[in-house]
Parts: sequence; structure tokens; C-alpha cells
Amino acid sequence: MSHSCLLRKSKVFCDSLFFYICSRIHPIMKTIITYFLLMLSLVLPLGCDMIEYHPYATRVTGDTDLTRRMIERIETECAGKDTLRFAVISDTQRWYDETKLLVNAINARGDVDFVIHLGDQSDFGLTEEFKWQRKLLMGFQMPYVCIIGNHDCLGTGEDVYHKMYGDDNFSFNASFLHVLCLNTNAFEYDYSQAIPDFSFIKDDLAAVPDSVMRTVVAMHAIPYTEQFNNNVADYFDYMLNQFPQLLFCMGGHDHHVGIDYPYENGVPYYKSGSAKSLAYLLFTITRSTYRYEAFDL
Amino acid sequence: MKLSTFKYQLSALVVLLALFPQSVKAGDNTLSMYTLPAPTLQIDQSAFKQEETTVSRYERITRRYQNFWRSLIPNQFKLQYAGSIGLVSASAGWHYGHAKRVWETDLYFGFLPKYSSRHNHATMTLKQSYVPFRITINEGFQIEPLACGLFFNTIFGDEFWNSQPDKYPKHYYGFPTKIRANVFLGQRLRFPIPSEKRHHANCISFYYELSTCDLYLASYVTNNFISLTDILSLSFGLKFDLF
Repeated sequence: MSHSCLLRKSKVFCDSLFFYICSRIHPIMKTIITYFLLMLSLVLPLGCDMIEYHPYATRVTGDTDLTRRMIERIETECAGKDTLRFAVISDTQRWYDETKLLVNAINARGDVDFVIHLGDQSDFGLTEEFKWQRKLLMGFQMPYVCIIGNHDCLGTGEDVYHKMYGDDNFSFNASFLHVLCLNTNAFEYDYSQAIPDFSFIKDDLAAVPDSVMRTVVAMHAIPYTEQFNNNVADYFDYMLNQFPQLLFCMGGHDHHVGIDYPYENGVPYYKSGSAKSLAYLLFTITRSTYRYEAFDL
Repeated sequence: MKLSTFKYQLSALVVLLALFPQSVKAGDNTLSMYTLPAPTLQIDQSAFKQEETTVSRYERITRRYQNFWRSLIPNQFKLQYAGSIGLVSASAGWHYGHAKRVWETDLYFGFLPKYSSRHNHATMTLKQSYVPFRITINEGFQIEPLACGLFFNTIFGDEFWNSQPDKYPKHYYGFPTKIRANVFLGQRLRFPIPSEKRHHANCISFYYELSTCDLYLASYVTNNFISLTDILSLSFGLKFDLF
């Protein structure tokens, strides 16, 4: 079809449309047409956010590579500090309002250096859930890191986690403190992947700088839960104790605040509650001692 | 992508393609090549009766058989962008009911690119629509102010399951990741094609729809943080009515 032909046809179409809108249309029809055009004009501008290819589509827009960026912030902001204070939350899945309250409460304290989220941001592994949680957690005035939970592994959730946050095993050094964050959801992987990843732990141990005096370990499922690879629970304990003065470990998954001592050597495993319980843990660590507090909103 | 992932889609497509050419040849005229030459107006009654009486039992049965399968030929096709069933999807379906248009059933096949995941994914959707109103503005332009209904979408891939794998304790995850139930609401503009200009279709419609799925609703109802625009999914599509 030539250009002029197209132009003529579109002109004819517009003319006829104009004719029908302007003249001898029943008032009810006029209302209906107006309503249709109004609906369309309302939908189109909003539409940009509402285009979704599938709930499990892994098209992640917005902030990505968050773990690396947050670690950079933590390491620079905490450098040289003698007292470190960090908050721990966990299992915020599908409790968005409660998570918002927790974020506000931790911000309001004003003395928290960084926050650790112990996994299960999403309930169904949906991409939107990660985005909603990111929107909430970006509300933290201090940097935060997120560990992968078993619910985050569902569907394509793991891929979204990797895109949005980064590797599922990572560590950082906040002044004198080494924080090791591990994926321990072995149950989700059918032993097809090394979970917990001992080669990562070994490499990480070898790379711990001399400035580090204390170590804490964060994970989602603690040893002897059904998610953990309990066949290697003893070796896991052995490896963690190789780190410079292991103080304690932290875990979520249980949805209840509590303390567990899974091993005879007495290393405490502090369990963070779910967002539903509106509780968060606060750890204050100095070079010689540490304090554990659990807060209820 | 493994072939085994697509075996269901492929077999369904083969069935549809086998049916499709006939439906195209049938065009606007509802007589299909399957039927025996039907008596036309020119034939006088005696000849007609003569023919009727000479129809054998075999012909009667095959005619009935052919008419049954003829009624299953898809009479509409759709192309859709987005809408939680893939980046693009195409469907074959049927419109039926009052005035042969109020109800619609469609079977979509969609494609979802891998983005950050490991594979591309195929999806399949069964959709039931209810389109109660049609307002004729003129011969070439109609509005359907309401289209609503529900659809079930399944996504193919090893990482999705219908019921949780046996390894998990009972009720560990109480929902299927593979199948999503959705509801939708939409509107359509309909452009009937004059009979002399028809090629494949006698009508083309443009539609948009807003939909949401079960898991989004579950998040929406318990949280003020989640707004309605967060859970709604917008789609655009074209519908071709063959006959």
C-alpha cells in the first residue's frame, strides 16, 4: 500500500469516526464510547508497570547485584569501629505490612550499622515478591544483606535471587568482625549441588585478613533441621570452628525467636522469628564481648 | 530446550494444524469439504427426495461422523502480548453460545524467554471468556464493553511442580508452582470485514485485558502494602474470527 493511499484511508477512517462521534449517536452509546476511551486512557499510562510476561518470568528490573554493593558500603562504613551493632530479621514472606513496621523500627533506633536478612523473602518464589521485598528493604537507612531461604529457591526464585542479590554464599569483614553468609537449603537441591559449599568455606577461611578477630555465621536453616544436609553437620561445625574465634551462628526458618545448641561444644545458634511475630534480633559486638537482644514491636 | 518438554504442545499443534486447513477453506461459507454436496435451491424436491432415499447407511454414518468433527474446528485465532501467559502467545479457540458469540474457549501456547533463568519456557493456557454485550456503531465498527472470565496457565520446566515432590513432608508447600489460576476483565474493539475484502477472517478484534493470579491475590488480601496495580497484569491482543 502506497503512502498516499494509506494517508487517504486513514483520513477516511478518521472522518467517519468523527462523523459517528459527533452526530446522531444515541446518548447511551456516547456514554459507552466515552467510558471505553476513558478506561483505555487510564490503563495505558499505568500499563508500563503492569506488563508482566509470567509470574515466574525472571525479567528483573531496578536494582541488581545488591549483595556486592551493600558489602562495599558495610566495609567502608564500619572500617575501624570498635563496637558493631547489627539487626537480624528473617522470614518476611507475605508479611509486607509487618516487614515495613520492622524496617521503620530498626531505622528509628539510629544505632544499627547494618542488617542481615536470614532468607525467605518470598513465599512462592515469584519475581514480583522479590521486587516488593526489595522495595521495602531498600527503606533501610543502613546497608542490608539477604541470604537465600528455602522458599526463595522455588520455581525461578533462585535465578531471581542470583540476579538481584548475587551469589548465595558470601562473606564480608566489618572492621574486626568476619560475617560468613551461607546457603544451607540442601533439601531444595537434591544433593545435586554442594550445599553447604565446603570449597567456598575453605577458600573463604584462607582469605580471612589478619585484622579479623571474631567470626559470626548467618544461614537460613540451621544444622539438624530438615532442610540442612545433616550428613555433614559435624564437619560443618568443625569447619566453622576453624574461623578466628567463632562467636555464634544465626538462623531463620523456624519462625520463632530462640536459642539452639545443636553441638556439644556449645556454639549458640540464635534463631530469628518471622516478620509475623514482629520481632528482630540485635547484636552488639565489641572486640572482647558481645550482647544478644531480642525485640518485640 | 528438550524435545520432551514440548511433546504435549507438539502433539496438540499437530491436531490443530490437521483441522486448520479445512476450516480455512470453509471460509465464511459454513459448508465444509467434509460434507457431501448439500442440495441447493435449484434442485427440485423430487431429485432431493431421490437423493435422500439413496443415501446408504454407510454414508449416513460417515456424514454424521464428519459433521461431528467439523463442529470441533476452531473458528477463532488470537495473538496476545504479555498478560502473565508468556511474552507472546497464540491461541486457537471456539466462540459459541447465544448468537454464536457470547462464550469463548481458547487454548493458548506461549513463549517465555529465559532472561535471568537457565532456560526458555513454554506455557499453555486454557481460557474461558464471557462476552455478554456487543454495541454496533456502524457496519465496520463494534464495541464489546465487557469481556471477563478465567484462565488456567501451566508453565513447562523441571523446576515447576504440580504437587510437591515426594521428598517433602506433608503440606510443606501448599500450592502448585506449575499451574496458576487467573481471572481477567477486559474490553474489545471489533472490526467486521466486508465480505468482498475477506481473506481468512470475517472479523478482527483488538482487545486489552487486566488479569491477576491466585498467588498475587493471596498476597494482596492480607497486605495494605500491595496495591491493586502491583498485582494486575495488562495484556494486548488481536482476535481473528474465521467463521
